[in-house]
Amino acid sequence: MSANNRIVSIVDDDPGITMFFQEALRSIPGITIFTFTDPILALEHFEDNGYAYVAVISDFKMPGLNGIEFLKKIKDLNRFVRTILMTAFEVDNNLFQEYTNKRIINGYLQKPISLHDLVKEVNTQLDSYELQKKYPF
Amino acid sequence: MTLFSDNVVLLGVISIIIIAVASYGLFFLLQYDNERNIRESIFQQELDRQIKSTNSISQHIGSDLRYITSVLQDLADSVYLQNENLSGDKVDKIVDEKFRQLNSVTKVDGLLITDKDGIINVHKASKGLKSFVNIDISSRDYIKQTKSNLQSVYSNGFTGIDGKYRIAITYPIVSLADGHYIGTAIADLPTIDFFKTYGNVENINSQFLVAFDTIGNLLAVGASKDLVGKDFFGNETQGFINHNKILNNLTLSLLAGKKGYALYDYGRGERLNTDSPILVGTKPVYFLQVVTPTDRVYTTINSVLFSESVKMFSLLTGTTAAIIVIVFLLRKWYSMLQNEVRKRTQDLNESNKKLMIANESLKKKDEAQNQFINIAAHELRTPIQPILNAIYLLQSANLKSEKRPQYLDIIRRNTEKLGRLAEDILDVTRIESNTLKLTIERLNLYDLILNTIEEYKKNIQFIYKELMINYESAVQSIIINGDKLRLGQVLFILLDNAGKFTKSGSILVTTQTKSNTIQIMVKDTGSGIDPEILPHLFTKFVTRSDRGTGLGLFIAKNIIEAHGGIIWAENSPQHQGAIFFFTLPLANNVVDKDGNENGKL
Repeated sequence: MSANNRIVSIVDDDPGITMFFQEALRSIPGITIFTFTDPILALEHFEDNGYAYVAVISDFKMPGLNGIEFLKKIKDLNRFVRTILMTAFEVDNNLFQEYTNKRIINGYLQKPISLHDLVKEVNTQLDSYELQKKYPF
Repeated sequence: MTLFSDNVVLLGVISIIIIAVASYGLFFLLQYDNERNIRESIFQQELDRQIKSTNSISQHIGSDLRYITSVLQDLADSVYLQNENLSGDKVDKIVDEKFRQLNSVTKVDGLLITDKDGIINVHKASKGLKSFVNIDISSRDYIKQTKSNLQSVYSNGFTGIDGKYRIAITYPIVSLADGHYIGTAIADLPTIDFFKTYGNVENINSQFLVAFDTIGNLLAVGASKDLVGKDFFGNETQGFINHNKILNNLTLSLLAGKKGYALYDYGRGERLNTDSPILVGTKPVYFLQVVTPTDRVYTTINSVLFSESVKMFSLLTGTTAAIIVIVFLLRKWYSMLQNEVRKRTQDLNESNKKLMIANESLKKKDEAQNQFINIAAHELRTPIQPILNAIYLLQSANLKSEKRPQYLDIIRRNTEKLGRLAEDILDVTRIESNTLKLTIERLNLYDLILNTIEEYKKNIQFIYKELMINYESAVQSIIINGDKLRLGQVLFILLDNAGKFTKSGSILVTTQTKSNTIQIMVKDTGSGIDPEILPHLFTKFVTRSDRGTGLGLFIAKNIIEAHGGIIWAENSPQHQGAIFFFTLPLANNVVDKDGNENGKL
């Protein structure tokens, strides 16, 4: 697997956000970044290229499919993919914990998110991905 | 809900009925027993009394008979008769004297003196009665017996020449010197008159006397005068007494010289009959019965018993009535208690229900509040995100210079949005905490609409260059009482709303007077209102716009309603844009100086 084939996608219905996040993640070497403002389109892309994905970053509140439902479908397709949920809402910690325990959400970012924090979180998840690949159980 | 089950109540009622029935039963039983005892005792007393009185009457009669005999003896022993001259003045005189003497004791119809051959020598008769002299009555039994026995005789009954029933009492006139028979002194006694002296012999309805001679002839009988002189065992008397065996046996026993008593009823009511022979010396000469209709005895008993019964019964009914009243009161009290419990339970249930409703509504309010805070947080954080990111990138070393204006524009737009959001959230908070104050003044709505349109046009002149805005009104003066700034805000919100969904096209504003209100319409040629959103259009955070806060229409609705108007929206029938309406009350011609200067939401 070529390093450049590792895909990270950003899904948020606000195109401003996907633009900034894409800009910021360029600093991480060895990944290709895809951005989507529609979770359905993002899911279609994942279905076709799931093998290459390493991480999905998704907003919670989106028209058509909310972030948790979306990430659940992603995990159903490829359980190794690292998932990061972000939202501007106040998060119900219990609910979040539940999804974390079910291994649907691996990371969480509370909006507003500084690009520095974003890069840091994505790097962490990429490391986790590598570890996971080495020691799957 | 009941304090006691129906079974317990039923059991109670049955117990009370059983107790009542038992009490009354016992009462009547005791009463019956008591009455019987009293009756028996009183009857016994009456019987004793009657026996005594019978004895004393018979003794009285016996002693009177002896007295008559002694008077006759006096006469017989008198010197005028002893010299065997049985007539003459002296004899008449002494006969007269003895006749008066006898009549002072009892009614004597005649006093006679017969000679040794049974010829009447002297006959002193009562007034109105005929005297018979020189008549031979030697064939009469009492003459014969007197002569043969030389003893006093108490004759059986006989009917006199005048038809009156009599008895005769004789005394032999015997020579005191040699004891030879000289003649007989005779007293004739009418039986009825004689026995009348000792008791009632005429009235059957009260205690009466019956007297017999030694062969059973009736000398006096209170039951019927017609029977006087009749044989008791003859047909007539037996018919009268219906051949009553008890009475017959009693009478036979009496005629045999025995005392006794009996109770019987020969068809005229129960009788108590006490018997005694009338003795002179030890020899029974006549026989007496004292007869009492027992109902007479019982009348007194009954009246005593009745008053006694009434007393007892009153006591019992009084007690019963008291018990019934107590039971009734208890029942009443019980049902009152039950009603009270029911009412209180109902009250409790109601207040519980109210509390639940209040709780529910508080919970809903709380939820709504939480939801509002959450959404507000989301809305406030969202514009910060691009500002933060743009600044980060602007500050980064490898910034491409052509990106710079784009980033700055992003910062400006989002800052403006944040500002609007802050204002709107403040307004919502004011509305929801009831602290939004209106400054009410008299104003011309026409002017306000024109000014607001102008302001809006300035605002959008670089954004929506193709947007036309027109205002049509029949009049130029629409006077209302309202808050100029807030009504301006509403107009601005509606124009901005229309603008956002129209972009290029036209907005038409009209005002129309309808009785006391003015109706304002804002109609656009835009995309119309999403049918899904339409029912919630005036609630918080409802928006399909990328620029809106989702609070404008909620704020507008509250401002209009605080002015006493209403606001609503619909899609244009031709599917050509949206139409918003709101109404406001027109001001009265008279300026109200005191009121409505300040309204409070």
